[in-house]
Amino acid sequence: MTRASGTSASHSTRILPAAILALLVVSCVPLRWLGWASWFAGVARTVIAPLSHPISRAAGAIVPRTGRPEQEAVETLQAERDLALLMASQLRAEVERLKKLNADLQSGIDLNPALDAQQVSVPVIGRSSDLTSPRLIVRAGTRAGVTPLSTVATVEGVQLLGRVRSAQARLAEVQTITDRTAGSIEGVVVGPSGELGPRCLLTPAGDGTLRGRLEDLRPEPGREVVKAEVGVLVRLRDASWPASAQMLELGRIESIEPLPDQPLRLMVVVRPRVTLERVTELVLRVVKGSEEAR
Amino acid sequence: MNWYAFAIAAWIALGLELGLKDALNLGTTGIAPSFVVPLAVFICMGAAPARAIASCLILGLFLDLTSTLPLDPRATLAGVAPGPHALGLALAGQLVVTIRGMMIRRNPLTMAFLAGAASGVMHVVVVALVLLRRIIGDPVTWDPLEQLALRAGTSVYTGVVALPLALALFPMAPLLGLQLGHARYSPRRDR
Repeated sequence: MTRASGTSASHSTRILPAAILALLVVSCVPLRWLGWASWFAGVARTVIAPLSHPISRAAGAIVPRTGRPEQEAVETLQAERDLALLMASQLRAEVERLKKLNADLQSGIDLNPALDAQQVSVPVIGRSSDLTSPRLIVRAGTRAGVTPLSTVATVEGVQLLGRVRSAQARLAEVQTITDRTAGSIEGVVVGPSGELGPRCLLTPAGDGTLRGRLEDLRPEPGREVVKAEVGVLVRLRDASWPASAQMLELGRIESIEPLPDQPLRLMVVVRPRVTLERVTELVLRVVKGSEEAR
Repeated sequence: MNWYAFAIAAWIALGLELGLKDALNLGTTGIAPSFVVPLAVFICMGAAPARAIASCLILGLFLDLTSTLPLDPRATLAGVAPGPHALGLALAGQLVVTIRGMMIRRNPLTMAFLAGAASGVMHVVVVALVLLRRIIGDPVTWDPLEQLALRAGTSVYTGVVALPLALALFPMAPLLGLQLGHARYSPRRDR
């Protein structure tokens, strides 16, 4: 017993300092050399997910994600209307794109064809343990065709939630558009009939809203300009986002104020339809062909 | 110390950490309590020093693997970096091991105080090591001072949550093979 405990103590004396030294070295190694850590992260999350997911769902059921009570029928009709408006906006944007493609092809420019995307409904099984960037962990990974940056996450296929930042075999991390570290996003004000209005460059404010400067849009002769007003919809129109994300909802204008340093210019505050960090299920737009290509 | 019981307790603590973080978040501040730190403190209060530090390293490593560094949106790196939480929690564990002899170990207030202090120490180390990453050129985007303030709030919150957690953890001491008596720790009882 004494020999066993002595041997154990000598092992601890050697292993513990070695482990601490190894971690110190890894802490100083650049991130580009730590790609292998993602595999271990995937394993860790897979092990913890069977417990964190039920807990997350239970917590979500106790503390609901939206606080405004609405009748079920009204909500259903509004959701159907929003989906129809989204499809109309996307069709309009697709027609514009095809017109441009047609013109470019006639002038001899070779362009990539539009990628087709399929929608996959996935549960949110937890959040990243990092306080600074609370990303959502979803149960879908590279095996389902999820690829970082090109796979987009939505709420019910209508509201843009964010995009996948990292993916393992069965799990993926989604960064919301309202995450402070997500960067700027470009949107366009859309009228009730789908006509496009001024653009705005929005930045996450850290309180669940997006804020940014509204573009000065001069009206063209014979064409009415959509006015940016409280309650009007803002959709994504940003070339740095995948084609499958264009014209998805960013939110509705909550307020319009003059810029503090430029009183003649306006700043809009846009709030998504739900609290994006609190969703328990989302819809991923996976580019078709990404699964076969691997 | 019973490593099997520790594995189960660690799994539960990590599940609570990831599953309840959003529900217990204070508004949109990002301040949420940790369930792993109180477990680490509880183990450090009753285990042999080497085992206590080893437990802290393991728990901290899992925290590193389940968190992602905030990177520049244009960066294509994964953002998983083992080390900060593991080393921070190990240092916090050493603090608890050092001062546990001066504390009434079976008191929930002791647990709450030590959990808050340990969380503070861990987060200072995390901020320092992530700042080091920024210095060596990694595209980490965060403000160290803002992070310190946010994590100070988290440490206080963790201390508050550790109080009721202590009532649940103390009866589990025999299961985990921990000695929480007032007597000084005896190496012969360690298994």
